[in-house]
Amino acid sequence: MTTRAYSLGGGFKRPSVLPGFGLTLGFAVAYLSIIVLLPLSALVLRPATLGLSGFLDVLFDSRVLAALRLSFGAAFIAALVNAFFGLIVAWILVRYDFPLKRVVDALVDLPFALPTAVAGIALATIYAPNGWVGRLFDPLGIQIAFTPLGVLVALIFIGLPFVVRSLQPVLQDLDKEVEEAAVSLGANRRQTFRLVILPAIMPALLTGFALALARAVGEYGSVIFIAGNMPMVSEIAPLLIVIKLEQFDYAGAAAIGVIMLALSFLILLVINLVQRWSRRHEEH
Amino acid sequence: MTITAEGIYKSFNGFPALRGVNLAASRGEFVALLGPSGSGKTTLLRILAGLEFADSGRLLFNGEDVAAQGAGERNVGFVFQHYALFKHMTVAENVSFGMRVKPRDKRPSKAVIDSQVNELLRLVQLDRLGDRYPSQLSGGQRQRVALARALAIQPGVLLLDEPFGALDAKVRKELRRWLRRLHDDMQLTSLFVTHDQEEALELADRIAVMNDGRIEQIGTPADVYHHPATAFVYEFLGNANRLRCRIDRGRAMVGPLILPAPEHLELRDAAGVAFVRPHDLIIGDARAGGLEARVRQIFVAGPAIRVELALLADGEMLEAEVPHGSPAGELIAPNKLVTLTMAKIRAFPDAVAA
Amino acid sequence: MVAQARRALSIAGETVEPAGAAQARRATTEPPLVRWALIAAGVVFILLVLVLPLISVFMEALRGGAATFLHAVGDGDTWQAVRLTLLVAGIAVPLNVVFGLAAAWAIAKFDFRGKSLLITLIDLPFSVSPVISGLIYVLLYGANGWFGPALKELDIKIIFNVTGLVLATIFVTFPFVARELIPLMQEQGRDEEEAAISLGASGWRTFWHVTLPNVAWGLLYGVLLCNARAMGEFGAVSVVSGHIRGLTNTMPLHVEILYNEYDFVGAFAVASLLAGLAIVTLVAKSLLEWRYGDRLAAGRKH
Repeated sequence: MTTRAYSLGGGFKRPSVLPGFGLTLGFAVAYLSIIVLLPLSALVLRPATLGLSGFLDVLFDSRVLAALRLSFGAAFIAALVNAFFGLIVAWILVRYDFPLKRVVDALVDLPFALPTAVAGIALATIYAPNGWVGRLFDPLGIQIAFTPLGVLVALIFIGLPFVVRSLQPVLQDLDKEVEEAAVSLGANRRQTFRLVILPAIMPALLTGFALALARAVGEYGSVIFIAGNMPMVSEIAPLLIVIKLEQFDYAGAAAIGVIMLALSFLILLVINLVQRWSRRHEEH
Repeated sequence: MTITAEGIYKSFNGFPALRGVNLAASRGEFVALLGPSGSGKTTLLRILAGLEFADSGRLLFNGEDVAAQGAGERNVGFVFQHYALFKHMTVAENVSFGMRVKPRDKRPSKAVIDSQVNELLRLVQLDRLGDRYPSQLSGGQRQRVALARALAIQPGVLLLDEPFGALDAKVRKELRRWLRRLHDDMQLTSLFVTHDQEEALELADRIAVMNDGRIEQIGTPADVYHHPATAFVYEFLGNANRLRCRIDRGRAMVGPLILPAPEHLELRDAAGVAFVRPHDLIIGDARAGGLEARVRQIFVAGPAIRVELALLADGEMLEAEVPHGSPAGELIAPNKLVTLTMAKIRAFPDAVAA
Repeated sequence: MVAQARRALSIAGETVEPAGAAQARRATTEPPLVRWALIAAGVVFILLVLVLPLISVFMEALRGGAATFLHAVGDGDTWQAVRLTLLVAGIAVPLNVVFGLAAAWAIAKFDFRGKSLLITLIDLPFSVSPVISGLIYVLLYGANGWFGPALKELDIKIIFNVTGLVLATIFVTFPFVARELIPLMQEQGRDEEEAAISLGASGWRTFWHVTLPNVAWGLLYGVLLCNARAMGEFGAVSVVSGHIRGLTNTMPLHVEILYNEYDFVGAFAVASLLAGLAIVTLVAKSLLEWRYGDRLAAGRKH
C-alpha cells in the first residue's frame, strides 16, 4: 500500500494530505480549455473548410508570401541586432559600474510595459523624414519610416528586453575562476571571451534570440504605424490577417494564422535543438 | 625557478588580507601555505599567480621583478580549487588551451600540440580520456586534467589552491602521493594552499603557517610541528589543551604543577598559556597529586582511548589520550575523580600568545 | 617577528608599486577604453531605441501647449476609452489572478501526470501573435464563427462588444500571474502547508495564512505585469473590437483612431497617459525587484 502510494506508476496523482487538488486543477483546466484550447482549435480547424487546394492558394498568393517573407525576415534581422546589442547591454549591466546604471537596467523593460500602439506612433514620428532621427537620414536618401526599415526598427524595439533578460542571470552566475584559468594559461582578453565566455553564454543568447524572434514575428501594434503597409513591400503578415478578417474571409485569415504559427514553432524547435546540442556537456 | 616575495601588503576595500608577507622558495621546493580560512593564504597564492595585485611589496621570479606582469606573462601554472575546467571543451582541448592561445609566431604546430597533449595525458594517467568532457569525469580525474592543463604551458612554478579540497578522503590520499612524485620527477617548484595540517606535514618540504594576513612561521614539517614558534602554530598543528599559567625563570606554573619551560629563562612571573597535547596528559589516581579533574566522557573506539575531563577548579574541559591496555586505563570511569600531570608542555607568555 | 614586520614596512615605503598599471592588468576585465566604449555603445543604443520614443510621446503630446493637451485628454470619447480600459483590465486581471493561484496550487503542491504539459500549455499564449489571439475569438463567436449563428439566435453579442475585448485581453495576459507564481510556490515546497494541515487548519485557512503571505510579492509582481499588458493591449482587442467609439474603444484603440484621423496631439495626449502608466509600472516593478529581488529570483531560477 505505502509503496504504491509513493510511486506515480499506479495512479494519476500521488496522494497528499493537502486539500483542494480537484477543485484547483479542475478550475485551471476548465479555464485553460475555454480561454486557450478551444479558440486555438478553432484556428487550426478552420482552414480545413478551404480544402487543401484552397489552403495552398492562400499560402502561395504572392501578397501572402511577400508578407510572410517580410515578417520573418525582418524579425530574424531584428533578433540578430538585438542579440548583438542585447549582449553589450547585459554585459555592461552585469560587469561594469556607471552612473544611472539602475535606471538603464529598469528601462530595458520599457518595451514590456509600454503599450505597442504608443510605441508605434512614437517610432513612426521619430523616424519619419521630418522626425528627430529620420531627419538625419533623409539627406542621405535613406527613408526609414514607411519602408521595411521601419518595420525593422519597431521589431528591434520590441525584442531587446528578451535578449538582455535571458543573458543577465547567466552572466551573473558565470564562474570567474574559469576566466582566470584562461588568463593564467596565457589567453588574452579577446581569446578568453571568444573561447571561454561566449560558449558558456551561448545557450542563453540563443534563448534570448529565439524569444525576441518569436515575439517579433507576430508583432502588430508597434509595426503598423511605422510600416506604411504597402502591399508586397511593407505589409506584415499579421496585418494581412486583419485585412482578410475585414473582408469576412475567416478561413483565409485562419490559414495565414496557422502558417505563421507553424513556422514559428518550427523555428523554435530548431533553436531548441541547437540549444540542447550546445548544452550537451553541461552538468546538471 | 626561485620565488621571492618581500613585504607583500594587500587589502580589499580597506580590510587587510595580507600585512607584510615575506616568503622565499628555491628551485625544486614544495612549499605549503597552511592556515585557517581568512588567513590570507589564497590571496598570497593569487598574487604570486598574477590574478591579484599587491598594494605594495616586491615579487621576484628568478630575481626578476614580475610585480607588474599580468597572469599570462608570468608562466605560472595555476590549479584552481574547483578546477575551473572549460566545460564545453574536451579533456584534450582543455589541456591544449594554453598552447593554442599563444601568439601565432610562438604557437606550436598542431602535430606538436597533439603529441604534447598525449604525453601530458599519459603523465596524469588519463591517456584514453582525451575525447571526454569534464562532466563525464570523476572528481579525481578532473583534478588531474586541471593539473595537466596547468603543466602544458611548461610553467616555471606550479601553484595549487586547495588541490585536494573537493575530493573524498581515499582519493585525496592517493592523489597526494602521486602529486609529490610528479613534483619530484618533473623538478617543479610548487606552492600549494591548504587548511589541512596533515596534508601539509606529509607533502611539503617546507610549511609556511599563516594567520591573519601574516606568516607566523616557516620551516620544515618537523620544525613547525616540534618547535612551534607561536601559540597559534602550536594550536593549529595538532590537538592541544590550553591552560592558564604563570611563567617564571624557565618554569611554568600550572595550578600546583611546576613544569620546565626552558625557552623562557629570562621571563619573571609573566602570565601566559601552557599547551599540552592530549597524549602528554597523564591521568593518575585521585591521591597522586596534580590538577584535580573529573572524567566526563570516554571514547574507546579508535587507536587510543580518548577521555574528556573537566577541571575541578574552573570546569575547563580537557582532552587526554591513553593507549589501550595502559595501567591508567584502570583509573578511568565516568564521573570518577582523577588527578592530571603533564609529560611535556609548551608555554607562551601572553604578549606572544595574543 | 616584529623586526621582520618593520623591515617589511620599510620595503613597502620604498617600493611604490604602480598600482594603477596593476589595476589595468586585472586578470578578468577589459581595459578602461574598451569598457567605456562598450558602456557608451549600450547606453546610446538604449537611448536611441527605448528612451527617445518615450520622450517623444510627451513632447508631441505637449506640442500644442498645456491647454490643447488638457482639451484632448478631457474629451468625452477619451474618458469613455479610459473607463472601458479600466473595466476590461478590472475583469481580466482578477480572473487571471484566480486562475494563476489555482493553477499554481495544483502544480506546485501536488504531483500528477501531465504536469509539464499543463505548464507548457499555460505559456502558450505568449507565443501567439496578438492578432491571432483576437482572430481565434472571431472564429468562435464572430458572425461567421462556430457559435456565431447560435449566438445570433440568442441575441448575444460577443465580437464587437465588451465581452470580446475581455476575452481577448484575458488570452494575451493569461500566463503572467501563473508563470510568476508556479516557480515561486514550487520553490517553497509543501512542508509549511502540510504542517498547517496536520495542526488542524482547514484548507482555506492554510492557503490564506500560510501560502498567500509567502507568495504575496511574487503575486503583486505578476499582477503588475498582467495589468500593464491588459491596459496596453492593442492587436488582439483591435481585431475583436470593431472600433465603435464610446462602446468598444479602449485607450490604445483610441490612440490609433485619433492618429489615423491626423489628430496627432490628441493621439499623443492619450498615448502619454498610457506611457505614464508604463513608467509607473516600471518604477513599481524595479522597486519590487530591488526590495524583494532575491525572493522573486529564487522562484524564477527554475
